[in-house]
Amino acid sequence: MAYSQPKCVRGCGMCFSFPSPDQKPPPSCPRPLCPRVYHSVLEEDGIISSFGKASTPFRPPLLQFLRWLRCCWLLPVFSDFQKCLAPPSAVQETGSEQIQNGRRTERKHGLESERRSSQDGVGRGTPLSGGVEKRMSKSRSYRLSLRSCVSSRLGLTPGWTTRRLNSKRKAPKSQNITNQVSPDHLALLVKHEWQLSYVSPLYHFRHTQLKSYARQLSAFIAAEKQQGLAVEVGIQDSFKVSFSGVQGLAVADDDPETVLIQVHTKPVFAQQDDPLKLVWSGWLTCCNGSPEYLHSLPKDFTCLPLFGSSGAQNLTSLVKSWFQKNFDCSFGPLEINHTSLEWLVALWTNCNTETNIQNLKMLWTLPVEPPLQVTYVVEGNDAWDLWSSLQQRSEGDGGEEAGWIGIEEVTAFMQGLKNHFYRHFRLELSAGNLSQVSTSLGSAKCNGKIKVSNSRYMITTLTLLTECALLKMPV
Amino acid sequence: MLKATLEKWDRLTPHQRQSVDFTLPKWVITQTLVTICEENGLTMKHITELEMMHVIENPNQGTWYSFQLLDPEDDAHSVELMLFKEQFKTHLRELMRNVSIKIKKHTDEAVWIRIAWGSGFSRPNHLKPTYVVHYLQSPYVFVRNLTSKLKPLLMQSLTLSTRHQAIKDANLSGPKLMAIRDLLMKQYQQSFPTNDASPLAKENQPGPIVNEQAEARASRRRMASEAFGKGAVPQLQSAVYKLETKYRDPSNRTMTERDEPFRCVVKYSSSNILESFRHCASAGIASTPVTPLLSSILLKGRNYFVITDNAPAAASQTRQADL
Repeated sequence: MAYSQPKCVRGCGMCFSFPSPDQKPPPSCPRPLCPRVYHSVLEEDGIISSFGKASTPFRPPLLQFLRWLRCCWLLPVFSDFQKCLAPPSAVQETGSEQIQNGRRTERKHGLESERRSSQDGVGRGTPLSGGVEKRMSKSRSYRLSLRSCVSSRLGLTPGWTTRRLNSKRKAPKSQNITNQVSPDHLALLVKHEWQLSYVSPLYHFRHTQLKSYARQLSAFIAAEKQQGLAVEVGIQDSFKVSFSGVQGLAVADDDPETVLIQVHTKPVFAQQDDPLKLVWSGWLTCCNGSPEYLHSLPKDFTCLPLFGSSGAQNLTSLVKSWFQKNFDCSFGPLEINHTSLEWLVALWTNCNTETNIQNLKMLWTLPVEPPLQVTYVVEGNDAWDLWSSLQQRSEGDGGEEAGWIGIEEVTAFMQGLKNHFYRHFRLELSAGNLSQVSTSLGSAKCNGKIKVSNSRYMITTLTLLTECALLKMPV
Repeated sequence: MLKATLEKWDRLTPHQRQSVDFTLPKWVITQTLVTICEENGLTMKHITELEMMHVIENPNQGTWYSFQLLDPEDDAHSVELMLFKEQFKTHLRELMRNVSIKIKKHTDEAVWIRIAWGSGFSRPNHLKPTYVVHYLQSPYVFVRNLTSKLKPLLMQSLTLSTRHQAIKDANLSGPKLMAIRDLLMKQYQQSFPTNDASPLAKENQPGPIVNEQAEARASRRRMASEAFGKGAVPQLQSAVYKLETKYRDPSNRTMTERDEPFRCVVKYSSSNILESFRHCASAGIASTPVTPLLSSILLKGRNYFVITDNAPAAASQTRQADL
């Protein structure tokens, strides 16, 4: 052991609680009282009697540590968590854990998302009761906090295990961005359905060199076509690529400017003035990205975490591989999980006063054989009535700031809709997956396809999606 | 499919049938067939015969809507095929002059009617025929591809020729004719509620392992099969519920005080919704006993419901044809 902590003076010999019996723990420190000692203290006080019991219950150190962690997770102040000393057992096992770290990190994504989904929202907190389940969730959180301790000690990027989707969100006011963004770009963004991916930060990406990037990309596509990779638009067609910066979507001060990529075909025998046909378009954006993350990046990196594409799949993969080769980034599919879909439901319904959503359509898939698809379409005004009734109630209770929506309201709204459904059909929708939501303002599918039909709410939707993309960053 | 129909049709010589190459693109096959038909001197009448045969063999295209005849008169039971044919043709021709009607009796007691509609001034349009299937002695009629303008004419002719007094929409539609027929005419394996639920043979439980949930699971399965049938069920593909009930939640005063109904439409779709529902009920996703809204699909044979507060159990909207 490289590091030794004074053992518990009270004499249980198995744990590392207070070095001195007179020391009271500070209120912010979540270290629990040593259970062995606690038990004997209670005995002394006559609260419980150990009559008939052979000995005080033995709590192994692992369980002790896990109970400490459980108290940590219960605290909402995560900065204190990092300030609290890591429990010594973590440090002394660091040596052996580091070897296994590689194995653990690959499980990280799944664990993080599980933890996130278990932390988001009222009524879905980490299960605190029930035998086996309790153990399992604790062991997950044990490994996660271990990683953050290790990485913070080794000076890697600060604990992103504490990242999660914002539990409060500003209610969108309709923003007329037609002044900020050029109408052509807006028309393009509103017209297509985009397939989303997340992108890790780009190295040495310069907004000033967009023209040269365009040339390089068209050369790359032409070269790949020569090699025989299927780009089957036409034997004689050649591609013209254009990169352009879209001003107006980078709302926060730290956001880098959005980049729009368009691929046109240029038939070989076309006249000078023939219009080029757009075959593929894509964009990279960062909309209201988390300033902490953006500041934490080293100097030469540009963070444009959200990538949307529309067009032939082979062109998409060509563009992605070009980016990967030139800017040392990696792409991955961005699925919109059910929490984000529920957020979109709430945000879009909230806009009903300004723009009529017409109706709120939700698609659930129940996991039976054969799979049953349930399409639940609620009339727009009725959905809005339900939403506003829930808002009034919460405002009466908590005194929220005007213009903010909390996750509790979103969950209550979804629960209200599901209850109405259950009252009629006695079918539990939570047993299935929410796979698609759509209103007249846009539609979102869980496999990462999004369509924003109304340019006024573009910024809000992109903000939510940027957050989702940032959550999936590998580092 | 087309090859089998051509063989059955029997108007082409074997040599001509072999000369049609079905691996070529569609327009090539069409050209070949047109030339062969011209050689044989075939007319529109023969082609419609071919189309009808094809549709009878492969009825699962488009959407079939079902109707039910009401209030039979005294001699409704004695309507037989020849009488029905004559009466139907007479009545329809009285209402609309230029129609082309073809009636054929299929082997399984179904009477198939193909109607090509014209108007007072134009010839019948054979590209968009209406198909009607009726089982004599049963009150059910299935219709495909009928426009709402021509619907009253057809309904009136059917009602008169089958000696009934009214016809109504049975609120059951779907792409598979056999499925909706089986559902309406109750040709599936039904499960009736019994008091004695346990079968005679006892299940073998291996040794000391006892399944705690066995009783609950068995009762769920039983209630599921009572509501949704046992064994193979008709392959219904979708069910639509239009809900116009009030939103009720004791903890939400604003919504409870609201007078207007909470309007929503719920649509279930699957390759076989009855089997999906049965699985939901036996797995516990649907709470048992199964709500009458869902069990009405099988028990009443319909898949379009409008639910209002006054009659929550499948209040229906009927569309009656006026005589």
